[in-house]
Amino acid sequence: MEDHVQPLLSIDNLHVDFGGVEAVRDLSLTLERGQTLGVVGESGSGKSASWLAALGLIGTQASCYGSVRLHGMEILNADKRVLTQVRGRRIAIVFQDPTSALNPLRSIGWQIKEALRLHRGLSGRPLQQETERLLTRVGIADAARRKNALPHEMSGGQNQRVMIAMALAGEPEILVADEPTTALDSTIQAQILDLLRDIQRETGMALVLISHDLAVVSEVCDQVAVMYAGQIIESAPTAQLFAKPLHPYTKGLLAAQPTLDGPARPMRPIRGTTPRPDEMPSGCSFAPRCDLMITPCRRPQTLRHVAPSRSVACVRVEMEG
Amino acid sequence: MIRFVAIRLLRAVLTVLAVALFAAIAMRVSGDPAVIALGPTAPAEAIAAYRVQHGLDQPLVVQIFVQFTALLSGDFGISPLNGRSALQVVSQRVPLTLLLAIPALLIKVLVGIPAGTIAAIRQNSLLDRLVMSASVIGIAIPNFVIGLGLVLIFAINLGVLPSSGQPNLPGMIMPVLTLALAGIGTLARFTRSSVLGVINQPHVRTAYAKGLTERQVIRRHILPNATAAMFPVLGLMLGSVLAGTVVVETLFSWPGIGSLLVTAVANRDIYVVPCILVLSSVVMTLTNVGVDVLQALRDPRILQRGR
Ligand SMILES: Nc1ncnc2c1ncn2[C@@H]1O[C@H](COP(=O)(O)OP(=O)(O)OP(=O)(O)O)[C@@H](O)[C@H]1O
Ligand code: SF4
Ligand SMILES: [Mg+2]
Repeated sequence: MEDHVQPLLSIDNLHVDFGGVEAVRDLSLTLERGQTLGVVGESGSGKSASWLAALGLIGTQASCYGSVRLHGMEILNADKRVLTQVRGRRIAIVFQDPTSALNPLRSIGWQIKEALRLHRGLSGRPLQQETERLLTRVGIADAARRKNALPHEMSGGQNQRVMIAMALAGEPEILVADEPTTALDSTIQAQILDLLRDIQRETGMALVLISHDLAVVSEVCDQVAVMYAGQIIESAPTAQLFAKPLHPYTKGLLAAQPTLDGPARPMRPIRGTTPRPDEMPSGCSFAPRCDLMITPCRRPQTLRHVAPSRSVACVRVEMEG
Repeated sequence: MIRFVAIRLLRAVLTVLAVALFAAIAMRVSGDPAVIALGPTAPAEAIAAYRVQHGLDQPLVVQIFVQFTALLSGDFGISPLNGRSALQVVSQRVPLTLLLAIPALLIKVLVGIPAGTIAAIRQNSLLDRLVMSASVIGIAIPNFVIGLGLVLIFAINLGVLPSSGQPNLPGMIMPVLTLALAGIGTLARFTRSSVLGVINQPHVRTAYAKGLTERQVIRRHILPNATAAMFPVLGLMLGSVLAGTVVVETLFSWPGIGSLLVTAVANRDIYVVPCILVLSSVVMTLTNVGVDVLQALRDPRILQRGR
């Protein structure tokens, strides 16, 4: 019964540290069943690092602190046995460059079957059928023949479909897609996003879509978390974020966004550049680029609730109400 | 694939041709075979007769050409030292050399590859450092020093093994070990770096993300990719084992090809030496073609990369 109040996944005060350089700082978020969460931020803002850390995939050079709980069960820095039960089966992840993310020596069918055997215990005829069904579901025509292809014989878009099929094999509760379309050209990009959205609706799994492109995320996700310099600086329902961005960085991001259907307005890039991880300002990390900076901004800013489903890490938002 | 194999075979043929030519030249310009065969005290008429009989009175270029074409047609000639066919003399020794080379290769592979893999997977651990230091020592110590060390310990001090090789099990142990130890370090290092190269590839992270255990990831994803990259080196290792037999067989007076080569060179046997060189180059190049083909079957991307 406690299950009803517990979120599907909650991340609290996550820090990811590469030998003294903090890639992720004090990151907290919750993910509910069936929710679609977009994570946006420029390159190096810690989008991948936070989700790789959550799944214990970040490697030994990084130290991770804080807490990541799945149905209340701690998985951050958890035992290997716990993690192998979570990975693929409860949280699946799809990576950016699909062709290098697949084993070059094994057929795509082999790689999907490996996941099906592992998570669903299938074998023989049902294994073949399910492999073909998954490949067909993600839009690979002639699955019975194509399943024998090696990754280098497929296009990038097709390989990303294979990665998605492989992720679906374990029937996960959460699918994390880390820039799934960045390496693909734009028409394929739209198709893959449609596929992700359709599959999410069909299965009811939660979807975390990581992208540096606000437009991509807003097409698919109900909620958007904006990351800047290793931190979530604003989180809001998509429509509200576009209608009324609160954090100066989000405002700048929207102003720099080209709009196709919205009112025409000049594109204004944010002045300055992102601070390097090793020379992070001690207070608000956006302060050096912020036009609204005042004395209290010298203190570190943490994410605060300002409205239902809305939070922001900026001292001025609270002051102005 | 056909084009791929054809190119490899052509290269192999060219290599063998080059070796044959080299062997022909080297044997004709390094001293007077007639004097060597008959001894320095032999009468001048006998030497002259020998020269005519073996075509040594012809101009050097003609001699080289004659021997070169003979080698290519598989006519290795009659050894002047014992009057038997060079091919026969050599092939009689082949099984004895294989008796050393095959177990040595097996030991190298069965020890070197697992050691390198473990070192890579537990990179920077105590085990890794241990394997790496041991391999440096193994690489730094020359083959014959290892052999002498073994002789000193097991034959002279402990007296448990015969110091000069007889073709039986106790006699094999030290030559095989010497031969094997020489290459294990290199192989372990090479395996380690191949595995390290694969470990950080994105598809390995995918394999972990799937929920596979570390053991499964290593067995199904890391090792197959690492060994695919190692095929060419395994081919080269066969060559180093053959080269190693020269030292080891001499050291342990093992009657194989290696010691035959040494005596044949010392006696200027213009038929046996080229026979050994040409035959071993044929074996080496064919092995390398075979290894290339295996690698291409394993990883068809190689075919696309062309040569
Ligand atoms: N293995 C590593 N060693 C050291 N620093 C790292 C390592 N991996 C990531 N980082 C650092 O962590 C920070 C966050 O990286 P991360 O990959 O999470 O960024 P990202 O938001 O996913 O960017 P991108 O859009 O480029 O994928 C970066 O500053 C990066 O340099
Ligand atoms: S806290 Fe201050 S410096 Fe930081 S974004 Fe808000 S106003 Fe700008
Ligand atoms: Mg990333």
